[in-house]
Amino acid sequence: MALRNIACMLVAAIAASGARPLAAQFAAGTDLTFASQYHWRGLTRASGWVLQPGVYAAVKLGSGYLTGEFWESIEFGEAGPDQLTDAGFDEGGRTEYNLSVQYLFELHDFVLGAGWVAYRFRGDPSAGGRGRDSDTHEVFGSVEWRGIDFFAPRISVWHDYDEVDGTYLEAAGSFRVPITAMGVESSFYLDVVGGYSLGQERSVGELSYFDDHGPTHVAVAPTFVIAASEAVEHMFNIPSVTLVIEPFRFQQNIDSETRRTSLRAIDQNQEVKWRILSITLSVALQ
Amino acid sequence: MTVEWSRRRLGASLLACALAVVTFGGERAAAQAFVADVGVRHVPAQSGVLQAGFARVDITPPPGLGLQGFGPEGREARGFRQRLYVRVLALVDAHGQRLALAVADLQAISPGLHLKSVKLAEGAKLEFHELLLAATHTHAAPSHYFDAAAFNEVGSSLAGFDKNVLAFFAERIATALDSAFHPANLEPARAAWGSTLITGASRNRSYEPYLANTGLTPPGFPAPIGLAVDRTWTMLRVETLRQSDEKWVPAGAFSIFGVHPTIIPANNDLYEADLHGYVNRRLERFIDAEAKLPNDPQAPDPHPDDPRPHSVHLWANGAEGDVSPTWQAGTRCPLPRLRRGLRPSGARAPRRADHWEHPGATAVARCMSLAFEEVRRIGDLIADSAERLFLRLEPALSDTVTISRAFRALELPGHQRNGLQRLPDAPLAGSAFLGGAEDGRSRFYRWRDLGLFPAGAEEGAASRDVSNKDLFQRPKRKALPLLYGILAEGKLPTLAQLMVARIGGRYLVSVPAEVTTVASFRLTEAVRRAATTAGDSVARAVLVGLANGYLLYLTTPEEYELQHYEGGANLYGGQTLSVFEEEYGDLTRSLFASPERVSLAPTRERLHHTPLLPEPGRRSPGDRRILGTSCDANSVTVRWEDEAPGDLIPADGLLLRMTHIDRAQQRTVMWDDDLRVEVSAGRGGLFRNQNEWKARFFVEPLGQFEFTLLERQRQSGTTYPELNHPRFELRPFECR
Repeated sequence: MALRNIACMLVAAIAASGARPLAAQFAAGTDLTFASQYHWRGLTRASGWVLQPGVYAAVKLGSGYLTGEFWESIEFGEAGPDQLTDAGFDEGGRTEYNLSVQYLFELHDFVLGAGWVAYRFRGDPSAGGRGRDSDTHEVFGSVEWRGIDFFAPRISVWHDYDEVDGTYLEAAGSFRVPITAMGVESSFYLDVVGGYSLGQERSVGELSYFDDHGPTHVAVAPTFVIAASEAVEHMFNIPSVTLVIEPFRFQQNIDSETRRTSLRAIDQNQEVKWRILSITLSVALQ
Repeated sequence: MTVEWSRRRLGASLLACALAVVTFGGERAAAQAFVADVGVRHVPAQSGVLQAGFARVDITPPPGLGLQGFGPEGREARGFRQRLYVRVLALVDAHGQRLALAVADLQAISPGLHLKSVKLAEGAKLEFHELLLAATHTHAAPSHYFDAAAFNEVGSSLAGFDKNVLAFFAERIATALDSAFHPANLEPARAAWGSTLITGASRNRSYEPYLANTGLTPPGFPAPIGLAVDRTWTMLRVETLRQSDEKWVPAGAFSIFGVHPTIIPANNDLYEADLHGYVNRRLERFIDAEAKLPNDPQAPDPHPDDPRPHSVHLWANGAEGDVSPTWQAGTRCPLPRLRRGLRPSGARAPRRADHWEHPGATAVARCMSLAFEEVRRIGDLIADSAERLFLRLEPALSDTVTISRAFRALELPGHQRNGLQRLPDAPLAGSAFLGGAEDGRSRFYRWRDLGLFPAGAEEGAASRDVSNKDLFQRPKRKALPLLYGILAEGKLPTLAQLMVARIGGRYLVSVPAEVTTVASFRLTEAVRRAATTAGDSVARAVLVGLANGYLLYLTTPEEYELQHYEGGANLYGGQTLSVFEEEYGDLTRSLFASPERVSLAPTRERLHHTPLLPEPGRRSPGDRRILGTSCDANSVTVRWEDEAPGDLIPADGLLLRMTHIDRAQQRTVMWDDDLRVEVSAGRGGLFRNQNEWKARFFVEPLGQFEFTLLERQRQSGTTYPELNHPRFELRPFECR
């Protein structure tokens, strides 16, 4: 397994490019997300507040960046009997961390990406959480078209070659409206996302995320991205600081697993759901 | 608050100076200590005639500093192209009156730099009011030395005041002053003023405000846009008496002509003297030829150690506030554009912010290449006219030129005259300033807040605020109101060092600002009227801008009213010009009075030091070695390893040359002081060799070349030990 993981990392590192180092440019940064719920691929993974820090380091290769990232999810408080949790009921704390490598690069009007991600779970299975036996790995790729500024469609594919052994597809489109004020660069985005399970559904002898083969969910989410201007950053020698606010998310659930929003019987078959709030502060050195 | 003394009183005692500080300095005295060593000396002339001395000193700093003038678009310098110099003409008349005319390849002069240069020039024995220090206004010279903190912080993309940058320039300017006034250089001289019109090299870039003028205007007003400028090239030709054969030989000249040296666009990232540098070099070689001095770079090693001309030509900028060179539109590179961009991101990272997408290398190379052609085209046009004028002046040369000057340091905030407040309590930067001038728009040009509301970063109506409560500043709209307190409050210049110098029949009106065409006409008219009233019936005045300080722009009240770029950058409002007219009138009248009118310059306030100048000695010097050569269709590039930028100071001497070998003949084609040679240093970094340098020669890569790294000695006075590198050669290499 280790050799397979290393091979996947290497493939991700040199994916799809004859990339050669040009000017050595490095970037590093940290993201800190504070969200009222933990959603992932339309699934409600934790129905209480979560803190999700991440750190990354990147090197510019060719026309893109090779980035390594460590990301973690921490459940605030302790989940009650009616709540969904990865940590386990009455447990809380660190539940999941991911290690990933991703290479993103530009080719004409397209942004292409490929990578590898390792999922590690530290919840308590005996208390209803997600434990080490759920650890798994995926490789992924994405294509985004940025030919026009106000709308960018994207198609992504994740393939779990480990415990889940299946593929998940996602189609997304993002509308952008710059609302920048002098000294502060910000944009409003409206993202539309649709998921499709192609083997990550329930099957014998494997872990699964969804119930059925086919569409999983459709979501619409507004996002505000507010950043200090590049000029201001230079002027005061400060790192790049970005605030991302997703005030809510409207989601049409399709798969029965995405319909679960809590353990209460009344929340087992929700057609739609709303996430209240997600705020991310990103600080980057480039 | 300004303290004025007469010359006789000045000499009385330092106690009087201290008393004046206490009596008149008021609250400002604590922050602005007055110069203590003021005393006016009459230095006896060594002959009964005019004496003159010239000097030219290299002031090209190491790479790594921000280029001043294009605001956030100004890049960090990677190296240099046409080197930066300070040129000095020292004059002493038969009565011992002294005057130093100095022009530096800098974007502007700060009062602190003016003062420090005088203080360090111990050999020249100058007083601060005997130095007219002007900037050419190239936008490819470093920032970081200004007294006014805002200029250090927003004048370039690299922010901060560095006391070492200030010292670097002051020391070299002082060296030039010392050299020009050195007895060995100061020779009997004769001089003549003259002028010619140059058409086609400049045009008015702010034509709508120009047309709005209704008061005193120049003859021919309103003129077409290409003629709506002061087209007068004024020149003082100087010859000195060669001791060896007692012959008069051309030694140099001092010229004034108003035009922005902004042909090289903001995308440039090399120190560069721009149009002024090119014209000065051409005229210096021309004067050398007139003096029959060997200076031809095409000649086989005329001066193996230094190919630079012997003669010195100083081009000071004149009424250039609203004057651009006639560059073609293609010389302006595309601006950065805010868009979704590629940023480093992990698999689980949230959305990244938009980023500024900078124009691609091909687009930049295209506009830069065209800009170089324009420097040559416009520069040749100017130099041709100037050379003809130089020749025409020979019959008028005279050794009986006399000198006088009057100087005043004026605190501008709340300035009063006859008990009436004439200027606002504080300077104010207007929003029109944010978008940049036509020569170099900033990325904020025509910005809209929230994508809807004009932020005033454009010229005209959007930048006017008729509800501005400050009547002195109305109708200026405040720039960046939310950030103004951080960016500009208390950080703009408050001191104006005004000077009128009379050399023979010309009055030099030295103004610490960029003055528009019509404003310049009004100022020089005020001086001419004052001189005429005082008895000089043939008085002729010419304005020298960007001298002894920098207040941004000076416009007429009518131009101010429209709030174009220049009006937005007129910090003290539309009435500043009339205050200056009165002050310069007073200074001119004082030239005829005895004693001469002189006031003292405050020292600069303390600024926070940000180390930006590369420090010497961080790495031990390695051996020089060639790392490789390459060529493309129109250039040859050589990479080599040398000392780090902190140790290899370009100003310490020429670095390299390229020789073309044709059969048995060798011909030096380029030195590293040329529009066609780019020298840059590798920057520090994990995978970068900060000792790596690169020279790109724009020469047809056919045949054999020899690249030579010259022996280099460090300038004495620097704090690090002298190093001599042996000369070595790479020969021959062939690029095909």
